[in-house]
Amino acid sequence: MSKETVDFLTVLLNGVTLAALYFIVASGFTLIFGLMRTTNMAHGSMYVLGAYAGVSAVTITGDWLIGLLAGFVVVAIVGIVIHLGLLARMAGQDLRQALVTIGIAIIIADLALAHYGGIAYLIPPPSWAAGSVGIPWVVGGSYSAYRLFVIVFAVGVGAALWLILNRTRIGMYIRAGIDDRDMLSALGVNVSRVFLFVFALGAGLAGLSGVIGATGLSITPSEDGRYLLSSLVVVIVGGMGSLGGAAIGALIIGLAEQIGLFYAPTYSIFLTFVIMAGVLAVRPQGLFGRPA
Amino acid sequence: MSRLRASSASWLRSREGLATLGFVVLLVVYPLAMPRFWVLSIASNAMILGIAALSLVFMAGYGGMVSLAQAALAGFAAYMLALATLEPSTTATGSAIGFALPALPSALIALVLATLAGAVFGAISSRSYGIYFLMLTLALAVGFFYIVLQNYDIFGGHIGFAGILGPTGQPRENPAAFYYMCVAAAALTYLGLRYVVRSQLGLTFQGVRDNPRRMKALGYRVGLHRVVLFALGGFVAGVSGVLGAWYRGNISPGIVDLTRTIDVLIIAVLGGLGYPMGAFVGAVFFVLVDVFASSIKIFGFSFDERFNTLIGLGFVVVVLVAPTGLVGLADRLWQTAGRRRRRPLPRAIDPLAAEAGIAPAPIPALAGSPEVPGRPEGDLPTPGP
Repeated sequence: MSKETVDFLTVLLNGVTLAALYFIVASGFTLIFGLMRTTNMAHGSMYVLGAYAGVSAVTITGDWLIGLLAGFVVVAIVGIVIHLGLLARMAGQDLRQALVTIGIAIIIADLALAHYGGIAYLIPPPSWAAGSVGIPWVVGGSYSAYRLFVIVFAVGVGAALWLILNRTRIGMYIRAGIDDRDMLSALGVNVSRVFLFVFALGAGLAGLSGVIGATGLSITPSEDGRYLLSSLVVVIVGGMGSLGGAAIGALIIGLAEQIGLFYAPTYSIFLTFVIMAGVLAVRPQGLFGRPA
Repeated sequence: MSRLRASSASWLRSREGLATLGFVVLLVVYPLAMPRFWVLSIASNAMILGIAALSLVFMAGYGGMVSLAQAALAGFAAYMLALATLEPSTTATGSAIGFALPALPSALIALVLATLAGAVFGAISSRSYGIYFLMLTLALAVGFFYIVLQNYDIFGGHIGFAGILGPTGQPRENPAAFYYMCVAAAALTYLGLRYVVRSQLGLTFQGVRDNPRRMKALGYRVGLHRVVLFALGGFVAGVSGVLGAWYRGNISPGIVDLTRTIDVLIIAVLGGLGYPMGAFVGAVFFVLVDVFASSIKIFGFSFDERFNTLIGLGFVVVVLVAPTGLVGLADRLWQTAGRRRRRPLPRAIDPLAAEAGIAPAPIPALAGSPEVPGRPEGDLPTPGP
């Protein structure tokens, strides 16, 4: 194979890896938005918070899986507190909720900076995913095992969410709630409990992806903007509230970012935004979104 | 207008006229009486931030468009100003862009380009409403930050540009002149927007805000009006960006980062999204908190280094307790005290307060009742030929 082809395939694989991470982050965002119309502007901060919870847990226990669990649980609990304490009181007021979560995002970022400082942390990958796997068609002939694991993991998260949404009772409630919240409530379902579950799940996914990201890349308090942006763009391109849309959106954005970085490094973000503007010009509701 | 002219003499003698006159005198005397720090870091800085917030308040109150792209547009103007005004060799990274133009023509170019950038942002987002619009403009703003950060050819990357001089020279050397320039810019943008919202175009904006579907049925091009509104917002934000670049003398990606974007939003909400004047009230408040955060103690906890925590907490409290902002709060107290405020302006509708059920909401985009609360009746402009 020529060098150009190998370069391109490596860039593609990097793009898919990044897309996998973006998908896990954005899935929580789009899940929350799809059901409750709550725009969680603190989603990027929850990613950062989960990453730091993972850093602390891995430092103490030395076990990566416990770190992953800690990221999920800690941020899910924070999500429950935020939802019960603030957001549930202003149900249906989406602008107000967005502004409140922006305030929370500022506080979380500042407190993370106060406690962990501005330095970058990196969680070592688990022993079973350390090292690399031989793949003949990428640069150097091998690829990070952990990155391949991230792809598998994202597919697993997507499958699990699909199963929860389509094969369980609560998933049925969630889908019904997306279509008609009032009718679901009239049928005797405790909608606020469904909301709480979804918010905790979505927040937990942000925390979980923080641990995944801090292992593959690194984490600083200022990463929140990057992941909030990626979540926003992924769901704007894919369509708000759609899991499939989030997957397609994440793939497009992840690939665009990596391809842009390789071939036009100082203009890579342009590519992402040209895609976003192009999608909006044709479909203002996103690729998989329903008209608002 | 004729009524206004005829009554201007008696207006000057009225209580409101006296208050306005006193305020103007205060603004003029202020830099002569205060130390440099208060003139530059407090007053001028607040004016600059206030103009940026004013552009957001204008778009939110009269167009229903809560744009988070205003700091980015201000920053865009600042970068364009730098490129126009700097010598090609002064760019830190060795890129050879720079046109070495004098300050004022550079500012003019920057404002024109900021207006165009606003129109481009508007074209991208004109079909999005409400929370979608908010998200989209936020994505555009954060995206612009990353473009600036990673692009060294045009924007100078993370270093940015230094040595930008305004027409009044170094602000530190002549604080009063810089202050007067800021006041003049603030007054002109504020009065200019007041004029716009009273004009036929302004009423059309409000029609588009209140009922886009009906306006469409009346033959208006709703999307185009939203683009024009965004372009106007871009111009006003650009004024803030140009002044800000002159104020600091240098620019870096920090002026368009997420923090800055949110600062502008906080200032606008703090003052009240339904009150154009609130932008400046919010800015003064914000700057004072910024400067004196180190001496604020709540329950023995010092916010010395934690200014952002303080601001975040304050913002959450304002959104929870007083979504109409400080001016809205004062307005309500004034009204409960039995004094009716004259409303010379077409009513801005605060989307935040409307949502919370405090202010009259724009009627949903369904054909329906002929009257919209708070809007002057009967002067829905007739469609053009």
